[in-house]
Amino acid sequence: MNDAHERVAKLRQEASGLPYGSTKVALLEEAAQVADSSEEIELAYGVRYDLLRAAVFSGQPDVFLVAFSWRLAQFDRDPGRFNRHELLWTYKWVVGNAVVFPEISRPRLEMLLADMERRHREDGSTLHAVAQYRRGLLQHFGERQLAQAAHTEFLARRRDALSDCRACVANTDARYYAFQRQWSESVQAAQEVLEGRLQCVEEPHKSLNCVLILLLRLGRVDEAKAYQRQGYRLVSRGKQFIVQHAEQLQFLALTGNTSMAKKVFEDHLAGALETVDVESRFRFLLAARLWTERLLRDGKRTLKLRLPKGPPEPDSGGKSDLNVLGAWLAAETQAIARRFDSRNGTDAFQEQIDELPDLLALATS
Amino acid sequence: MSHRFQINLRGIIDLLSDHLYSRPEVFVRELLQNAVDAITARRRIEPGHPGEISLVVTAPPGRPPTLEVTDNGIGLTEDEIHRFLATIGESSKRDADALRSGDFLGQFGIGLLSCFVVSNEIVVVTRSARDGSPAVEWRGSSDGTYSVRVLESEIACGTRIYLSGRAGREELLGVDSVKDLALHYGALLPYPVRVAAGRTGVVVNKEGAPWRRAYPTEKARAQALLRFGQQAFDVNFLDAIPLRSKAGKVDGVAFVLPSPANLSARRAHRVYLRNMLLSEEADNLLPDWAFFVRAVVNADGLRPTASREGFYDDERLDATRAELGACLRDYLLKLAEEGSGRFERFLSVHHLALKALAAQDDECYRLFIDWLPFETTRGRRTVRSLREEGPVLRYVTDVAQYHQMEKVASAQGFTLVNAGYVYEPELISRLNEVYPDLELQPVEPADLVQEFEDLDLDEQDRVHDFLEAAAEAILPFRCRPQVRKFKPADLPALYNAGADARFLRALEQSKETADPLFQGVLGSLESARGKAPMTQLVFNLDNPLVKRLVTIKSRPVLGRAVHVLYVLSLLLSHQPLTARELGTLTTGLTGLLDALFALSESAGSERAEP
Repeated sequence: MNDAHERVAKLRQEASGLPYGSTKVALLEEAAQVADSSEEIELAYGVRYDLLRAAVFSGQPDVFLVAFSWRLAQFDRDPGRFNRHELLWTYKWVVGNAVVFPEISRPRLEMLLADMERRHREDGSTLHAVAQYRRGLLQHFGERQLAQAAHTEFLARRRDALSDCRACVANTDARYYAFQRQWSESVQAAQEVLEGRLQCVEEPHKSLNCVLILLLRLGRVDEAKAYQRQGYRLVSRGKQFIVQHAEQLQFLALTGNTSMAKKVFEDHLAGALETVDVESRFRFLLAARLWTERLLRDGKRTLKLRLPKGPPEPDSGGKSDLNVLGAWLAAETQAIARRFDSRNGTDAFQEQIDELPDLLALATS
Repeated sequence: MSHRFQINLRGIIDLLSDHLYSRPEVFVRELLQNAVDAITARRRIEPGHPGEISLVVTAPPGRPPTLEVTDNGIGLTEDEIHRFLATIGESSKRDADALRSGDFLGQFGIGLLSCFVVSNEIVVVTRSARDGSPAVEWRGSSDGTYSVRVLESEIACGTRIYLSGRAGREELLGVDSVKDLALHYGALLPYPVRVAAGRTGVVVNKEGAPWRRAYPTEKARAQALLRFGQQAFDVNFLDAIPLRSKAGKVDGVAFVLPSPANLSARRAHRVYLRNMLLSEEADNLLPDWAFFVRAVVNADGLRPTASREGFYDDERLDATRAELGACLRDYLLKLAEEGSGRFERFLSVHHLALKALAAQDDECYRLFIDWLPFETTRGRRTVRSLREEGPVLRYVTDVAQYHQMEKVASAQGFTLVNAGYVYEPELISRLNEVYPDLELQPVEPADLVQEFEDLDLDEQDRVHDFLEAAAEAILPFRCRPQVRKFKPADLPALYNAGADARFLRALEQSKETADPLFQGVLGSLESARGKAPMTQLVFNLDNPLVKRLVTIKSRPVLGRAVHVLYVLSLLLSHQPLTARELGTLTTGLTGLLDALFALSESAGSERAEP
């Protein structure tokens, strides 16, 4: 089946020249299918590495999980045949990509983490990465005390070959401290990334955006404004950065940058509604809700908006009633929050909604 | 009680050379910068003073090479000498603000420190141009000690620095190395930089920036710039575009790459800061659509980052980026207006860059969209030629789906546009803004089937039994059969599924092999998606095999044949196969082979009979 080899090679090469995004993923999905038809497991296994990596960095968690499960099954069938380290490395992406689907139960998420831990342990890992991902999962659940215990465990573990890169660790640290409401520790954790001393595929993209609200809380508005510009430039074109778009929108809404907020909202609402990642969608819609509330508070009632299908249609004059839009956003976010909270058995998502008035109090004119 | 701990200067310097200074070669940059700063300071009190910098290398046999760097700048007084040492390390930033606030000394010390990377001892002989101060000698050693003495002899105002090659670093003080480095860092400096060994010397920056020179003709200018680009990047560029920005006080050239750029690669540009080389890897200077060029620029008004690898991302850089983007954009607009064929040539290489630009810039969208090429079932076509063909434009925004439909669409003579590549979905979807009469039709595989020829009543009668048998055979796969007539005739059947089906098939396939834990995860994903729509298998009555197949009466034979065609069609459209489908193929084929063997055996036995 030389034809299949050639076609796979061509598709992979085409994909490798592209930035992360749906085209790259689609080409690699096709390559995986062609590789399957050749019935050469090594080829299909190799292509799926490209595919799952592209899926992770392009914001397609479902495609990632499908490709990963296939690979894991092949690996387990014949462990000596494939690279163990590579498999264990990619296993780290499983929990984070599964947690965004409220249909996947909490016990199942915990079992995934336990399975990853078992495999990392068998490989002789210090479990530095495992502790980090445990902390992240507990953070999602809103379990503050358990997360703190995981954090302590994480700090006690030595880095090893399975640890995330330092830039990524810095970002997850920053998010952890923010979750525990330790604002200045959070910014401190991201400092090296912000200064450009650490970087990777996803950094400083994520850190530049996640510190915006923190700096606002700390009263360091000018600094935040500089990062906002820089951060937006890095994420403005990527559909995988919905959380970052939400952070932009939130910050712009609070700092009263209406025209820029409108642009971010219009440019990225469609992406937030299309994505299968329900948690990212929640974050974006919640930020949009904050924005409409800010506008209403400032006495704005209607706004001309370029909208995709989904939200209430504007009136005949093309204007959207901000009260109506706000009510729709409230209903959407509420519905998602219920799904996550009932899955998680906590009220972490409801808490984020309840926090809106406090956030609004941070608004500058 | 507090104590002061000792800092080992040697250790600190080794650390610095590994971290603060990305390469040991930067000592040349620092020396040149000190000299330039000193001359600039002197010109502030003596306008019109002609600055000069010289680097003299000596390599006595059997002894380490030495380097002597001289400038006729402001010089230092004895008092300043003590002070500059006191301020070493106080500020690690060397920027315009520090210079303006008179912090030349702190800067000087930092610059000098980098020389310990190549030399164990540094000697500075200097005489200040201010109020007749005497010449002073400073002798510093990398063990952290230094001595200062006032010299009796008269010397010209300015500074001379002596370095002596450290073991292991001697090659950096070789004449070729010094010449290369002085040119590398100082090619654009406004004062002559002379490098000499013995009596022979050359001014390395005689030519200055090639884009600032005057040329007899435009052509000579273009040739000189392209030659410079070739030397700088070792690439034969297509064209050179002048760059200018008021906001960042930038001037320079952008070179057009001769082949399509890799979209996922970093965009490394060579940048000078106030005419001193800052970085060859600056990547944030141009807008992100400008991936078809590599630039060489000098900026007088931008701030370097702490790592000195690029510019600090502030409002001024934003404004600068917009102005530089406008230079490139104007160039492209001019090229398009000119209509000399140069634009087509540019497009044939860089249409992706133009698509990126059009996707983010409304005016460019209007101006360029007609020129932009798309892959279609009738070769590469521009939007203009597609518009000229008819009022309807049919397109697919998913590459894999396009590949699935491509062959049949092309055989049917159906123009289908592949708009699945980066930037293309948004470009296509906005076409009506410019061409309101154009009808845009997103195409799904099912739409393609609509184009196929229907059967007449007779034919429908003929395929009736076959269709029933086929329906029964593939119903377990949630697939429905149809019989139509379509091209190419050698294709017996076409499998038809939306983009969602592709994902769900892949999911099904993974689920079959996964362990129970992951089976559960995938099951949840499946339920999140909702029930998959039925897929279609369209048989082609123009195909000779299908023509014969519909005449077969035996249900088991029909069932097996349909299974084989079903799996074959899946393979042809690159759909993931589940184990059950593979099993079906095996039993189907085995059954057919059995029948074939039975046939040939009975033929053999017939022949055996007398």
